[in-house]
Amino acid sequence: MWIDFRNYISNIFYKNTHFNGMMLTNKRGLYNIVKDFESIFSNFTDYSSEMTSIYYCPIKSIKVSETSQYLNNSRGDWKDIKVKGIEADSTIQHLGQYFVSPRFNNFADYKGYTHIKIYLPYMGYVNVDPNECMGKYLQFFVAFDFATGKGIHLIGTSSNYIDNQHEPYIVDDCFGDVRIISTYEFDFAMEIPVGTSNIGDIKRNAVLGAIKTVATAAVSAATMGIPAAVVATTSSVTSSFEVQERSPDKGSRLKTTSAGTETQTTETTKTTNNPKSFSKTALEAFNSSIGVLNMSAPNGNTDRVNDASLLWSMPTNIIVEIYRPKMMNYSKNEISLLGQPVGVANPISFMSGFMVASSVKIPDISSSSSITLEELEELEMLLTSPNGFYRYRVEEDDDFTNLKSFELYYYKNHYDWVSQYKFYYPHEYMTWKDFINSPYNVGNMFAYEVGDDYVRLNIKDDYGDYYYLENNVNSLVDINSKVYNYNHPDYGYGFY
Amino acid sequence: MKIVFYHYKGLKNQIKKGGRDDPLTKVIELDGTLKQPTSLTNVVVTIEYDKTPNFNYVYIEEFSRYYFITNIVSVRNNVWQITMHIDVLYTYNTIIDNSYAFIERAEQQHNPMIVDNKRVFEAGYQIEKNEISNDVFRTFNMTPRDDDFVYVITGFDFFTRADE
Repeated sequence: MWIDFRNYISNIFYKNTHFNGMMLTNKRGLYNIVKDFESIFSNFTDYSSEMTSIYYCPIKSIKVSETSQYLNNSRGDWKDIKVKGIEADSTIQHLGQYFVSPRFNNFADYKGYTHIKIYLPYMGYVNVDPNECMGKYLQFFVAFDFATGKGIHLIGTSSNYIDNQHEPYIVDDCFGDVRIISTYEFDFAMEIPVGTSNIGDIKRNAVLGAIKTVATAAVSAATMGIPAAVVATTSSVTSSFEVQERSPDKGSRLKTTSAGTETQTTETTKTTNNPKSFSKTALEAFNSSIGVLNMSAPNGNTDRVNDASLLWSMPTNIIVEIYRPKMMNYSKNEISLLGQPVGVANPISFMSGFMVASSVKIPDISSSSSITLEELEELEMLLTSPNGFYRYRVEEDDDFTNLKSFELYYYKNHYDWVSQYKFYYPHEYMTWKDFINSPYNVGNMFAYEVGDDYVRLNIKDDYGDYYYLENNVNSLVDINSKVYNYNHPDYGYGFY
Repeated sequence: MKIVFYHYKGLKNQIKKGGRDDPLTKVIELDGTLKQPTSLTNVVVTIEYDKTPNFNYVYIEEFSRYYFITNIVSVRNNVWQITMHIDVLYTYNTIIDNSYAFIERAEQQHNPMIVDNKRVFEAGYQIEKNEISNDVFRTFNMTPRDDDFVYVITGFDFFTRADE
């Protein structure tokens, strides 16, 4: 079941915002509009009550109607206006996407070890849970509500790259594609005071200093309760991940239910003639931008910016920062001393090499063995010792003798995240004995069961665990791939 | 009673001794009789051997048990008292093979998604920073640029399309 993205956004705003007059212009155009209003209305009260709000909006892509507009008053006077009407009072745009690639292909890629911070334009830094997006595309959407000047950043994940052939629709979890994982509300437009000003103020602001007036008020708001966490963005950027996160009252994670999607985002309310209410948010975004600039500074201590006059430098791009832990790789010796987590309940005969067991179940041996209780207890103690034990197959030489003449020709999986397909390509030749002693046999790829005509391999990064060695063919074939077996002229067997 | 003395060069917690990397080399095989009560778990025997013992592992066929030598005492010239303790791992290796265990860590198998609390991390992080450009946002300017958008919201019915 597809959910129309635009309807979804409407639900987020919780209301319809049908203003039939929403004019898009620029600084000079605003001056003309004010003059037009002035000419058609007889006094200030008439048009200031109808010119409800004026917003400065440094957004580039706003869809407009090319139809010319006209203005009339209750006495039947009318006047052409050379402006374009905004086509819709709300819009949704796809800002971009980013593939979060795992580096370690293990637990270290996930929460608690890897941290992901995202800078959202006009919003600031937010934290994203790596568990939600590792190995997936982060999808960035933004929704604008022109009636209120409020926007919502939506961060989603998808398995696939979104291109022109795929509309940025979101679907329910079970259908894959884009899944929204968090939303953040922000202000994308600054309101120019109308109702509290006289016509002279409006015209002067329109041409000269409209935003400066508001921005000044914004700076004043810095002393009026800006959360400490927001201010902290101007200091250290590596001391804490949480402290740099945007104040939680300005956006919250989205919850999905089986019945559909619901949001915890606070309802957008229209702000009229109250610069403080939105300037606070603008300052938050600005402070976050200073955090970005600090990181770019060659010398963070002396070149750090901390002045509101740099509001114009606020980054407009999304910035994805991934903090990867510096994890030391195990050597072969370390693995033979420590082992690596496996977490399986197996007959011990299935295992080989060093291992540590936390519990053991020894079968009933009372009738078939002379083992004493004291010996049994010692045996249990040794098998569950935190120091572990070793089980090497002393008959391994014999096992390998039969396979020694085979040239092992295996395929290393190269999974293409962009496409749905994967295939294997021949990595290298090696003899079976070489393979047993090769680095591929530790960590990356290892054999743990050998038969006359098969070998069970565990290959890191791979979905398929079971391979078999085809006699006289010298190739390993993924058993799962037998369903789709494809003999590639260059690459041999594998998925395609 | 036949006692085989070996020199073992391997790990004490290896289940099955005598593989390629931990050879069990036979040193001497002796026949004798127990002259006093002896535990199967901790065995003490006195042997005649004309040099300092160079063995450390024992198999007593009559007991069907393997032993580590825990102590050697020189009784008199060429007479040695050997104290042994059972090696339950090798003695009962077939029982062990038939046992089930919950294996937490292993050398030859690995589930990389399980958190490994023995992993060593260096302090700090490697930071990857990537920018995603877009055609939507412009920098916020203190004084609007000429081509910056300004939009006006008007009241009902006062702003309509000319073609309506």
